[in-house]
Amino acid sequence: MIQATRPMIGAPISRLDGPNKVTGTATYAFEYQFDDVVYAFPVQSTIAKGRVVSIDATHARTVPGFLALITHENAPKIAPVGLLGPNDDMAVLQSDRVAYRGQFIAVVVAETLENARRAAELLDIRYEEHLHDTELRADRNDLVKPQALVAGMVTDTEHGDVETALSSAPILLDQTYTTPAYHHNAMEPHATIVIWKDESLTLYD
Amino acid sequence: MKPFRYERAQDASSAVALVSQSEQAGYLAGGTNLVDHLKLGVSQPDVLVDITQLPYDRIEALPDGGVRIGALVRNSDLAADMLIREKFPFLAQALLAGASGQIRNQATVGGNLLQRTRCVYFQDVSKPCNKREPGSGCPAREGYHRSMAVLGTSEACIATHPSDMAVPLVALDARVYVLSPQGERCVPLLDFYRLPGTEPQRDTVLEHGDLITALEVPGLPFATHSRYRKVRDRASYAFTLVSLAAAIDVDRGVIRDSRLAFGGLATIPWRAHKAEAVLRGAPATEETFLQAAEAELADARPLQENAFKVQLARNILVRMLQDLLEEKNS
Amino acid sequence: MALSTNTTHHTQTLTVTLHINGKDYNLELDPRVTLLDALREHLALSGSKKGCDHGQCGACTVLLNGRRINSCLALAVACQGAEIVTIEGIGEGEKLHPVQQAFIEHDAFQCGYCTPGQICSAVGMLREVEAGWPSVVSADLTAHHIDLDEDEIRERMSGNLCRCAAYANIVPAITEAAQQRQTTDKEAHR
Repeated sequence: MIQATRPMIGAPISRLDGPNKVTGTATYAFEYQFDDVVYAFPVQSTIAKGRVVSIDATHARTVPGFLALITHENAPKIAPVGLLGPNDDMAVLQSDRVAYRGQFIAVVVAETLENARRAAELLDIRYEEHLHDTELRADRNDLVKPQALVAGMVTDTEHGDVETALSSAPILLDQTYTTPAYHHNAMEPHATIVIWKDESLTLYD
Repeated sequence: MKPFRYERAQDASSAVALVSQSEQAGYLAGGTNLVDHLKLGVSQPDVLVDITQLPYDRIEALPDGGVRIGALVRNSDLAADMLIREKFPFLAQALLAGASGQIRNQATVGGNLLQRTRCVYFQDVSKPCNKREPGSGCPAREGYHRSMAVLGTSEACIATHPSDMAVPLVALDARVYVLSPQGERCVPLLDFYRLPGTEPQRDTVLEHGDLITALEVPGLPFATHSRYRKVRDRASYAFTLVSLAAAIDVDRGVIRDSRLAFGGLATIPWRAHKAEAVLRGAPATEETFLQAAEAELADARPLQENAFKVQLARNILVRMLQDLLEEKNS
Repeated sequence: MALSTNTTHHTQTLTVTLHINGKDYNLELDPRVTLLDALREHLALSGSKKGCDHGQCGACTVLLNGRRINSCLALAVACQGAEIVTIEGIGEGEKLHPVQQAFIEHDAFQCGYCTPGQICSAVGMLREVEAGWPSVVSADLTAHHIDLDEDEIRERMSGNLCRCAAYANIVPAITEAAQQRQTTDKEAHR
């Protein structure tokens, strides 16, 4: 709780966490220090759509300090997740289904980062690859209008009378501009440090 | 990353002996390409021999007006060297146009020559790639090839050579000094790089274990009037779409000689011999420049997504020669 | 896929002394450990950040023998004998370095994750400017003195990404820090 010693609103205040951030002492999610940590390295799908048929850890297990392989076969079941109802695409390690390239399909745990990464590399993964379709184009005949969008927004909106405005405008500029998809991609990786104590789990963010 | 043994070389001959005797051994200098490849799984040595302590870090003037550059000179030191900036400005510009400040400080001259293509399929071990795994196929032709080559390609491979520094160096007829268990030899840079042909896995004529010790650039008085222009998607810190290193020697409106080389256009740093031949003895006019560009680009084999490079190369060549001419006349 | 399955997994470890922020640290390291991971995972010096781990974002920037480098591309075992300065070593105890102070005053960050890398890179960059190193945007390649305007700063700092887009404040922060150095230098030479 920050106690104000002077008026804050409208005053030129430097960020209170500024000194920490510029000296490298601000602690991010996976920077809390604990003894005897082990490392979980993600294994990501190299196909865009299909199924994981098998994951063979024979070679991976020989890596020094190998501790565990977690896949949909032994991961605990979690409650369905999703913003607008259960969305299988967001479920992690819950089925053999691959919904996108890069999807986590396994996690290898080992005593060092380098060996966790190496063990992950040595997994022998077999896929059943399906044809993927990722091109959204206006001329497709199979476009679907979602029933609902996030935050109750509607899919299609209309304002004013475009046709009349275009036909009566003194100057008409009719161009199509395309931009690539943009993604949030904060500099900090999605990572955490997780501590088991008895039956409880603490995740740091 | 596969585990490897790390050795620090105390002298060149033991380093060369150690690496030459094992196919799975390799050299480590700046590491800016290699360490990336170790993490990607593209490179998997059993032994890495760190050569950064070897005495190859000097830049020395040569009697013919040229310069001898140790293979371990860092990119940033070479770009900052006043001898280079005055005598071979396009070489300094090419170095400064490459990578980022941090990478330029770590990367060495030898490593810059030997850096591998940034083709996405080469760097992704889950994809087929004839350069990385001979015979596995080339997905780039049907897939993503916007930054790939239009010259020097083969059925097996269309991967662009990514170096900026090497482009003015091929224009300058640089020489590469190589040490092997058999002794030292000199390879002209124009003979150093290999077209992919049917063996895209071999980027250069070097044999396993060969160690680059130095580069020599012969003197070229008119190189003081040179420029490097790099066209890319971003203003900085991006690989080349098309680049050009150009130096011209003009006397009373006639081109006596020129040195031209393209980057980003071909599977190797591309010396534009045909364009130079058109320019030699010709009037320094836009028409001549266009003819030179046409001659060099006549054999281009563009694909759907990289066809723009042909027009871009033409535009850059004409524009740069005009700029150089204007500079000369002002 | 041809990743080799060399199953003689003996992992070599080497005893290495790393000289960091004026102190010596003795470590037993797997040669695969990068300088970045040695700092963060072995020495609890988590000020240097892992953003991309491939030399593309600059969040891991540290000073090696006074020069800025990407620590994610350096093998720790190869840094034996080098002088390493990390964000924890910029500034002196309670006293902030002028670059750090300028970042606070100009609000040159939001989440702060890229900030240590930005600061180390800026410190290294200002030394390069002092040494008269040109950049690709320098009007006169052979000039001994660099006019560090906005274009020069943006070009020289292009190896440091910021997804909060604090660039608009990072540039003025660096401009101020550079001017302060000039003033200090001028005073020192009086």
